[in-house]
Amino acid sequence: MKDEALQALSDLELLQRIIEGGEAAFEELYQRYNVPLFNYLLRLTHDNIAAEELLQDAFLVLWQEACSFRGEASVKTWLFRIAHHRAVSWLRRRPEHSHGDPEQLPLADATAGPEDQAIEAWKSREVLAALDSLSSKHRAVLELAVFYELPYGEIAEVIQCPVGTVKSRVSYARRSLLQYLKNHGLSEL
Amino acid sequence: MRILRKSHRSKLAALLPWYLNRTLPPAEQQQVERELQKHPELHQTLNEWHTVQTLVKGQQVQSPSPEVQARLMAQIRAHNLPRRQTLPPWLARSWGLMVTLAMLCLLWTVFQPGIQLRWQVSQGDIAGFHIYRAPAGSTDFTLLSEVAQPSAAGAYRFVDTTVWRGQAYTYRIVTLGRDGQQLLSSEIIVGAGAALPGQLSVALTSVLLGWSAVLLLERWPIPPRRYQLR
Repeated sequence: MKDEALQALSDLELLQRIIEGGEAAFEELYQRYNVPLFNYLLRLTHDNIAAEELLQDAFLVLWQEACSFRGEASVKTWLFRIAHHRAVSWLRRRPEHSHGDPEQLPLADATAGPEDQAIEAWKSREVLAALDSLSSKHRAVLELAVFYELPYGEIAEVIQCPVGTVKSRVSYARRSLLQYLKNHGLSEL
Repeated sequence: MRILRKSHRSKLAALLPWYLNRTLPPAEQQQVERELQKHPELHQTLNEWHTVQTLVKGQQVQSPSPEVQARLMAQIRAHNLPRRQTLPPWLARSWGLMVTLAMLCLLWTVFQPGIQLRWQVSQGDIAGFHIYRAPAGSTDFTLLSEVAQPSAAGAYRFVDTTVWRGQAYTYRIVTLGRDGQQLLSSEIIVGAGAALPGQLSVALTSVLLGWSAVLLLERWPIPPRRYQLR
């Protein structure tokens, strides 16, 4: 099936083709979600290699378990749930660390002067450190709510906990983040 | 100005990230908008969420290396990964429902949960019995059953399985002689609650067996076939 035709299909229609052994449909689904899932895994694990391995694992599970998809949540939520649980298993086997990867810093504005670039780079490091200071369970819900803009019901599906827990973790993450920035003199960001 | 209680404020504040990303259900979205207009103190929390949103969305987005996809596709193609297939959920649940109904019929027939009537008659020359039933307090008796064969031991048993919770019944047992005359009759009033434990046990057992069948069928691997998602 041509690429343009595949791009017009919904996630569920792609999954139907994957169940029938459609590799092209599987690659199209990979193209749609590999970047969001990879970044989610990277922000939880802080490890580039681990995030790639977990990404590969998550899509392998999708290929093998496509038939067991019940349609109770969206395909996107299901994928995130698989990836989240892979990440949680990985984190359990390894101690958590809150170091940010300096390579993850956003690029400085090339048109700004050297001093402004240095200030921006410093702010970016501090913001990254602030986000990395959150525990993985709080970072997960914050990313899913704010970055990936999932409704709270879907987040509860992803991390397999009650909606109340999602809301309380997100509130805690906000307070913790802002307190960190305040303690480091960054309340004006 | 009404003072916003702390607990109510906390509940509203917890909705703000989803208010900002517009994924709240419409009723909650409108509720938050109303409360924001009524309680300006919530705007501070909203502004904090704007700040958090800016920080989180400002993170760099990276792509995985192209080798990940290549390894993934190679693994799927080269090793022809086994794909576990199970019955579609709707089929498993339909089977489970049929198992529940079949077990309900079977257990109802075997155990006969209901109101049991036992009586003994010492006289001989009995052709049989008619069993009548009426709602307690009523004289509108209807023939429920005919027991035609006399027992050698003189002991008889009848189970009324068509009783409903909350009802009480009056049973009248009429003994019939060989010439068709009514020899004796006696009445007894029984509440249907007496049958409830047995009925509940049969019903719950049937549901449990049906549910177990669903769980088993949903997980039972079957040879690869083609199923369509609806």
